[in-house]
Amino acid sequence: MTIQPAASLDVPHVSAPEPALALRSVNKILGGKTVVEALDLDVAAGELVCILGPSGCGKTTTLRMVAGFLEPDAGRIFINGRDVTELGAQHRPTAMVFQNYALWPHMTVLRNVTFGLRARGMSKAEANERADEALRLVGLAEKAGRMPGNLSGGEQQRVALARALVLEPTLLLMDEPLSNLDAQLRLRVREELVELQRRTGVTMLLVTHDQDEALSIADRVAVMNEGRFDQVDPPEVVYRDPATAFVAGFVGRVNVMEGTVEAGTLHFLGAPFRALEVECSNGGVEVSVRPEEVFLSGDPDTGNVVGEVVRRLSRGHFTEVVVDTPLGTVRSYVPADGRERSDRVGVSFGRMLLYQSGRLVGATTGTQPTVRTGKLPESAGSVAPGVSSSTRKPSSAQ
Amino acid sequence: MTTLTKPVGIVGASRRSARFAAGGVRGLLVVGLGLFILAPLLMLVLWAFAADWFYPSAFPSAWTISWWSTVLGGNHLSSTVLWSFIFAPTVTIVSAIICMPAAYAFARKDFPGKRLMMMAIFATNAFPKMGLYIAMASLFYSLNLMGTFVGVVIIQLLNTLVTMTWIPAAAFASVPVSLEEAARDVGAGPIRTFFRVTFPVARPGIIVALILAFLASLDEAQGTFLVGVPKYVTMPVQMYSLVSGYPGPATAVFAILLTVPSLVLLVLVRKHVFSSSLAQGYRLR
Repeated sequence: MTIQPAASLDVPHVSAPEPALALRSVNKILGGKTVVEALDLDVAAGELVCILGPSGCGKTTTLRMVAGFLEPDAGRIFINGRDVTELGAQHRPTAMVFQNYALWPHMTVLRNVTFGLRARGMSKAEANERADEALRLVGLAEKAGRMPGNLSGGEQQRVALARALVLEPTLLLMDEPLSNLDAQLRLRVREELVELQRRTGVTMLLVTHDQDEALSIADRVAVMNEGRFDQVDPPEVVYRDPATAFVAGFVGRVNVMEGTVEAGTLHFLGAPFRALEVECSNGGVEVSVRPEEVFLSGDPDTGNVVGEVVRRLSRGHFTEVVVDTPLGTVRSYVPADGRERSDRVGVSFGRMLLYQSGRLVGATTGTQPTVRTGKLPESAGSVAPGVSSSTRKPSSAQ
Repeated sequence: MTTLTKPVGIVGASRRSARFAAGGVRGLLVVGLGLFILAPLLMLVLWAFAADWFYPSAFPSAWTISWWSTVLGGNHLSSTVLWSFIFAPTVTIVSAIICMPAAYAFARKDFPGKRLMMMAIFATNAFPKMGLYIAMASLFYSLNLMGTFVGVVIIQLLNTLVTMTWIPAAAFASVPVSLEEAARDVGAGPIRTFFRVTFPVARPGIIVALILAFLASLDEAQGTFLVGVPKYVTMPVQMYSLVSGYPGPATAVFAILLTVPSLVLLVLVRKHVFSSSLAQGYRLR
């Protein structure tokens, strides 16, 4: 499939002084339950922001408040600096792509796209011309006369996209746009979406529960947990420095170990493990390590701890190794061509994330993996919260 | 009726013959059902052309078309047809005007007493009609509605309330809310949304309700007889007097004439109700 650029929709990226969308302490109560609480968010013009969270976290409610289908119980919503909190959906400069596309089954593809323009009083000839342009943009110009029921899921999705884009919205809203597509198509449409967004320069707010999707397409990811944003950051930052234990567990995978901090030193099982230079109160600490930061060595004496290999799972270009250690079961991602076959291994940890009462208090800088050769010193890591010397590109866990 | 007996020798037969037997049973069922529906109609047609037909002969012994000329030539037909076709559309339209907003409200809005109201509408069909009519007649006398056009329309409306509320309510409820939201999202107001999106998508169900209401009005005899006679005599009311005053074949002719509008309607709307392209559209959620 090809997407042809349309000249008139090719708006250059201009950063406006005013954010395209601003949420200010937005609250929503549904059925006696606080679904969305004290939400703040700024989306700059031309930006693609993903709201990522598990089902029931309030992300769709948030999107529906921005679209105008729900009114917040408290807080304000601004679009291009204008307060739209009390404005109905039909008066907002937003356009939405629904999860099930919500195409009108009794209208042709063309009429689905022209409907909004006609409702805004545009002449039929001009509306048809604009719709034709939008359909060309999504590569469906030759399907204009079809009924939506005769299109494939991917084509329906693109009609829904054209229907939204033709209105040249200030803000394009997408509710789980890829969840109804099969796995292969999803990957392709995902790239097309990014391409389209770059080409049209439209500001996008996208809701998804798929962390892979959010990390790969968003300029910034807003991770939502029980009605609040735990973190709003670029994907690399969200992956590398998850602000809360929830984010660490939800975005990618982590090994979680219980430790204690005593006088600036991290202790595991009562024994000192690494010296910390971070503001960290004494007491229990939750230590999270990404599987790609867990290194295995064939020599049990070289690592931080000794482990027994329970399982090796081939994951294609890498192998997931499940290891039983005194600190609990740990998962490690090792290269698929690893010759490591022994059952007793030395386990060493790279970058560690430290959480106290769910909040990130610091991270040890990544140690170089010297797995197969040298023995790691007992106190290898220095600590700097939010800063990392690691330049490793985050690879997704799934 | 046809009796359904299992073919002898099916036990121990090959799977293929068992499947053949199952197909045979299914065929017999279809034929049986067809006879059950069509046989009375066939009898009616035979009666309409019978000059002599006595028990136990299977068919009339002599044929005639004189009953047709009796009915068609009589002065009772033309005015009853006229009244029938004045009342039926009037009642259908009034019923639609009253019931459609209620149906939409039942489908889309939540309000206190919703279930109770739906049951109350249903209850109009739960009681014996004649009892209801007698009770209403006394009310009609005091309101001077007896023997009036409005009185007949009101009494016929009763028969259409349930179908005109429940069927469109189900049709509206089956229109996904997201279709309406999508219309509002692109800038359509509530009225445009209803007439361009909700109504067209719900249309097959609404057409069915309109037809049923039209036919209910066309076939209504008891209430119309009670309220309308002697001024407003519709076809089914006329048939009542024919049954007592004329031999059977004349009634048969009249009954056949009464089924004509239903058949014509069915043929006319077949395209809208069973259209496959629309049916496909509904697979979109």
